[in-house]
Amino acid sequence: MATRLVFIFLSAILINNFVLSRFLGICPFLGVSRKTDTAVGMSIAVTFVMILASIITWILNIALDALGLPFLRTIVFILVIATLVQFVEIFLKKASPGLYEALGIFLPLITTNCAILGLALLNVQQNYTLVETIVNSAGAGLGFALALILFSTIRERMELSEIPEPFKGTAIALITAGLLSMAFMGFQGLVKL
Amino acid sequence: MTIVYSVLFMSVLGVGAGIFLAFASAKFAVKKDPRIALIEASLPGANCGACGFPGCAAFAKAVAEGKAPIEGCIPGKRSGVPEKLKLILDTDIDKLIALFDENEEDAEKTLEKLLASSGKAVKAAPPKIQRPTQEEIDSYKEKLKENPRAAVIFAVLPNINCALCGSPGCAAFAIKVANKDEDIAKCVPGKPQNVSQKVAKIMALSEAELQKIIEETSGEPAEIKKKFAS
Repeated sequence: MATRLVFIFLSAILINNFVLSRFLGICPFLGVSRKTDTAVGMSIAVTFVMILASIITWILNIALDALGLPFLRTIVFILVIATLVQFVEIFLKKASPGLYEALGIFLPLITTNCAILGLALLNVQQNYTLVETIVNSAGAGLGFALALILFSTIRERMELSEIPEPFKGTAIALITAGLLSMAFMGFQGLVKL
Repeated sequence: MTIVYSVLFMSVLGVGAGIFLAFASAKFAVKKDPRIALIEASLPGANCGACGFPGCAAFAKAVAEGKAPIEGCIPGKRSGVPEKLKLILDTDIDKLIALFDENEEDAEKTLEKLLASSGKAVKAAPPKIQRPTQEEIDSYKEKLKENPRAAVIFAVLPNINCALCGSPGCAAFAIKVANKDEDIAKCVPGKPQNVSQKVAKIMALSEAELQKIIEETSGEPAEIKKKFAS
């Protein structure tokens, strides 16, 4: 049981990293990775929404199955995620106006972050128990944080380096993201579930 | 049955989420700085831009943040705006918030109470100014063609149509000044540009001289203005 949880956790962070292996949540990955401060804030917000959303969607999924309404899954999950993101936004506005300003448009855009909906749907597909769901979501959130923070530090470093004119800005960022993703491919086969 | 269940499930979920968010927004409501609203309420509201900010709201925000001087509002200078702003900024912020809440966040009412409680003599608020419509402004501009003196006076006015003088637009004001029905001192935004001296000069000119100026510049206000620049 415990080893399975560890495997799920590690696999969510490294092998099936949401950004670098599943290519979900690319928008904030490129959008908020210019500064490490905002990247950390975004990672915390996304991880929080991920864990909370997957717990609530797991419970709602039981109700959906019992009522024979599995086709409502996507729309119900989107509603839950949207509500949670709104809550995070209201909370951040009160608790940390600086972070709220820094995240800007990307905060409400967590609503449409496919990583979160993807996670909720994958949890259901894999028939995870509640504990497994929480562990998987925490791993997915940390994986997202790992990718985002790694990438933001690289981008901060790149600000100081001399980059050929045609590669400046988004071009070099996309190439870097590709290389980072290829590096993460090296984790494939680390854990077999 | 499936349809009934789906509708019921979604309704319960939707209403539940709505109630949750309503509670959250009430619990985590962010209090806005009441000083901005109060400062805006004490300004003339002409949005003339003479302070250098885009509109009275922007000026109010800048004053509250200490980025603009309290004397910055030129049209409000003589009607006691700086004194009011000083009073607002000098009052303890907690007291202001309490007073603001007491008056149901109505800035005008709060300001009245604040002025009454201050005990200091502060001049009454100037009446809110009704700005002229573009049609009104244009109709008076048409009339300038028949009146060379008014046309030349119009050229040296700031032409921001702030209506602080009480006339609907700068052209209407220029016609009244040319007919000696109105005092040029009423053009408040024009003061820093020495409009009074320029108009005195224009009033001293004869009809022929005025015609000459109009012909030389083909009636272009910007060209006329250059002639009186010194």
